[in-house]
Amino acid sequence: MSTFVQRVASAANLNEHSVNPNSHWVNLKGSWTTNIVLIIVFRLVFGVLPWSTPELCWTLTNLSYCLFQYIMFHGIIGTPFEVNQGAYDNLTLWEQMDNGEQYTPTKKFLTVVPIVVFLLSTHYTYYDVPTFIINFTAVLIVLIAKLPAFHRVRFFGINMGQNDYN
Amino acid sequence: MASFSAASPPDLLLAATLEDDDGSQRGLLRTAWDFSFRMVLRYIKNSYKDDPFRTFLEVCLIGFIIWYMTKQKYNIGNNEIELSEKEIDELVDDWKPEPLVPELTDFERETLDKAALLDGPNGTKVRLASGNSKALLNFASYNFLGFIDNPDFEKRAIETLRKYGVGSCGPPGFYGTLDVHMELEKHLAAFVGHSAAILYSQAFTTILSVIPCFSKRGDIIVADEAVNFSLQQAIALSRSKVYWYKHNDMADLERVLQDVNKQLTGRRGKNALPRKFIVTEGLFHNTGDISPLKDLVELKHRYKFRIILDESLSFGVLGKRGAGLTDHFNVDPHEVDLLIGALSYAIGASGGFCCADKDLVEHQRLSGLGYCFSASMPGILAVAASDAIRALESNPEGHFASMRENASLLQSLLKRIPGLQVEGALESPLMHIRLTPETLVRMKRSGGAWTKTDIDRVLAELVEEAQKDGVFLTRAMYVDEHERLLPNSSIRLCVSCSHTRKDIEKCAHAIKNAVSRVTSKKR
Repeated sequence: MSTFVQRVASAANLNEHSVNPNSHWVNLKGSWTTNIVLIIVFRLVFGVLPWSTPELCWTLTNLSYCLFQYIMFHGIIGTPFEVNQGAYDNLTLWEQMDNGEQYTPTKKFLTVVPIVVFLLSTHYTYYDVPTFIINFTAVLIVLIAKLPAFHRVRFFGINMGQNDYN
Repeated sequence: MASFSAASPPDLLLAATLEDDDGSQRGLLRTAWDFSFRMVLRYIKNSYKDDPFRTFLEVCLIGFIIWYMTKQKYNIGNNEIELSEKEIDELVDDWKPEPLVPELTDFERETLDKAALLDGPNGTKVRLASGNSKALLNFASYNFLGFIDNPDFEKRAIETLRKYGVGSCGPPGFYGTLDVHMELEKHLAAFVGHSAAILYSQAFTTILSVIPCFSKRGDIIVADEAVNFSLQQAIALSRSKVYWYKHNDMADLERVLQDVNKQLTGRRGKNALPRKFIVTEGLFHNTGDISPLKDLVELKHRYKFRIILDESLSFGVLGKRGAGLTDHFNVDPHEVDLLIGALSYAIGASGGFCCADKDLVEHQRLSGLGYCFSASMPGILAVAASDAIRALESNPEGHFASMRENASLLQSLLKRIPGLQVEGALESPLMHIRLTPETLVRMKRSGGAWTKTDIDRVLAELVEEAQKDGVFLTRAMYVDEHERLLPNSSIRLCVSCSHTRKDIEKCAHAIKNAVSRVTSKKR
């Protein structure tokens, strides 16, 4: 049981005034816009492929966007450059955002967008069951990772990082 | 009006605008609202598709969106208690602020009032600024090689002052590097026998810059318990996991190294190989001991650690040439991964340096905080340091022989004084003297116990008595609350090579008299 789900240690500074240079950019207007533009680009690219049907197109868009969100926000821990003597080394980007504060505007936006993409994709795939299941699973994984109850929780020892703090 | 299922959006819009007579802005807005409303209704109607379960899931998702959007933001970390205005007022009225500068205790006030003020340079003989201008023999300054009162160095320094001015006016990376700095760095590397050297402008902050530069959060440091204050602060600053071993106890060190390696065996991935360092001093400031470098190197190779050696006091003091601990034990300097030295003790200039492999030194040029964000040392001091090292290279025997003779002579004389215990290695010119516990017990009236302040007071009296006999001593001072292992109170003696045999004997005699005078009084 202990390796199935574990909570990871964090030495992060939860002071509301400190700015995390690694995660601050997600709060900017340009990041939000880029999310929308990215979805549109995915849709157009997949639509242009010669063998694509609307179902395949939208399913691929949904899956790509969920994959993008997973890799970006939940799949990688730490910072690419040295920040604060390695305080954020065990945290994913989602956990680093806004100093661990939950329900901030950015987090709300990033939670709602996959759901909206999912609803659009099921509408345009004419609601057949196999694609629905695939899309729903992808959205479910991405949504569960964002819930406050799963802050710093790790499954199967993935992304455990280093738990040795003095 | 067209029915939902058959109409396409443009038709709907056209029909809506045709109906509206005036075609004003308000009308267009209303048609847009109608259009989108009907779009949503059409979507919902289309989406049901005889699958109640799936529709239920989608409705749940939409419900989740609404719930999530309406949540207030909160921080998991700190849950602040909400206080009412009245409670806040009460708390504010109750609060009595502590003074910005705390009240001094009596002993602290005495120490402050009696702090020695020197008139002139702190060479072998000093004059106090207060009262009688009798010259005192200086056994308090770290003037081990007598460079402070060397007239040739003074002359060269004044010439350099005319050429380079006083300060360097900038960090080394930003127009603060002079040619004398680069020469001194090459000179130091060649003198010590290592690959490269980098200069820092202050000796105390050199180690504070070097250790956090290489050892970060998640790395492992194994340090000697008796390291000095700047090393303790450096280790704390680095945020690494630190293990302490008993002072100079190689068996304990081996046990700690084995412990650490055992803890690391289960790790996988990126965390499997953290950086591991052994941190110790060459000549310990708080005890006067020398660390056994040969054993350290052997342990380092066996357990795969790296050595950071703080040679602040041993550079220019130990070894045949004076190159420090590696010279003293005839160990290849490259075995010490980071060799930190100071130019402010024996060499008589100011600042510090770090000798290491070329890559490690280059890394410090961008990541060593003391190097990047402090002004570089003034040109005069770089030239003075260079001259001092050149003097050591040309005439090692002249300096070290007399310094070591003086040191062993003083130690042997002091050991003969009853009631005194001497701490320090045999060859070390820095030693600590304390009153033996038996003497202290004898001095106390029955039923009395010694507090640290009492012992400090006794030592302060000892220093005063020695001053009356013409010898200038000092107590070893610490920032008591911040030391990890506060050493017992002591008087720290520094022997110089420019002391004559008579000076040493005078010092021992003065201490003997002071001890007998001080211990004769019962407290």
